[in-house]
Amino acid sequence: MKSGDKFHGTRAEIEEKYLFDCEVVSYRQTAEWGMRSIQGSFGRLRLPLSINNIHSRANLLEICFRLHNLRTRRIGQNQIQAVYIPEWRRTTEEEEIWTNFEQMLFGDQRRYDRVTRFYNRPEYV
Amino acid sequence: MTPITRADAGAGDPRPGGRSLDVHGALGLVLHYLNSTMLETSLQQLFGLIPATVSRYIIFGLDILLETLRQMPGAKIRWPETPQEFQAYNDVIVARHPRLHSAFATIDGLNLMTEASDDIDIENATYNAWLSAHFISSVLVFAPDGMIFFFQYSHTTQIIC
Repeated sequence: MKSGDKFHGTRAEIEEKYLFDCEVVSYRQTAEWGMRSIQGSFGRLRLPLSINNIHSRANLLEICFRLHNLRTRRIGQNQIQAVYIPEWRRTTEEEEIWTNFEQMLFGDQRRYDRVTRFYNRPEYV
Repeated sequence: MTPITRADAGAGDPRPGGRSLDVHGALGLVLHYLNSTMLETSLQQLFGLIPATVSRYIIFGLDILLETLRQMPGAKIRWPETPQEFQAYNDVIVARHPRLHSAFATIDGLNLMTEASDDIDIENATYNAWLSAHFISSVLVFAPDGMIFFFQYSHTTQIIC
């Protein structure tokens, strides 16, 4: 819904439409997290891509998106999971669904940035 | 084994003993290139290579990485295939958003900056007056667990499995 939109219906219908819209907006946040995860971890995508070589551009994107999926499946470090995946395990039935989809999903979470920890940083004493 | 390709010479026999980086080094170089915005000069210093070698290794390494990822089941980009998969994703969404009965993923656009082009048709296709820069637009579909189901960019269709 946008500001200024007009709706017709009963109060209950309008209220329900508004609540539905709130949930859509809230869930849309996951797309934002996904985008931030991609652009945050693949810094190369923040730099201008080559304009003349369509294949190298497409290949670069395909590499980044496949790597993202690989990392999500193996390590599971992203905000979307942190919010939604605990929902899987709240009941016994959901726990079973979780176990059956183990291969599709992911493993342990890591906290530390994998690149910067290999570089020296000054420590002042 | 193939030789590392270079634009200024023909393909000779591979010289694995004469390579500047081993396979771990080459992968490390490529991953640093992808995951950072550092200039190639920084990569040269980190890996102890001259500029031409860094460029060649990046191009060569990216090709190998792509071929490898295409063969790895864990790196697949694919839609859910069974009703059970769709239902499982919907269950996760509905647990937090009870009114989104049919939702299984979310979709959004991503604008990636490109260089300007001399070709006027490409220039016209990529320049975005609203954002005052040149972009390639793409669309991504994300699952509730953060997986990418699908992506397509600009006027070429990429369906990836």
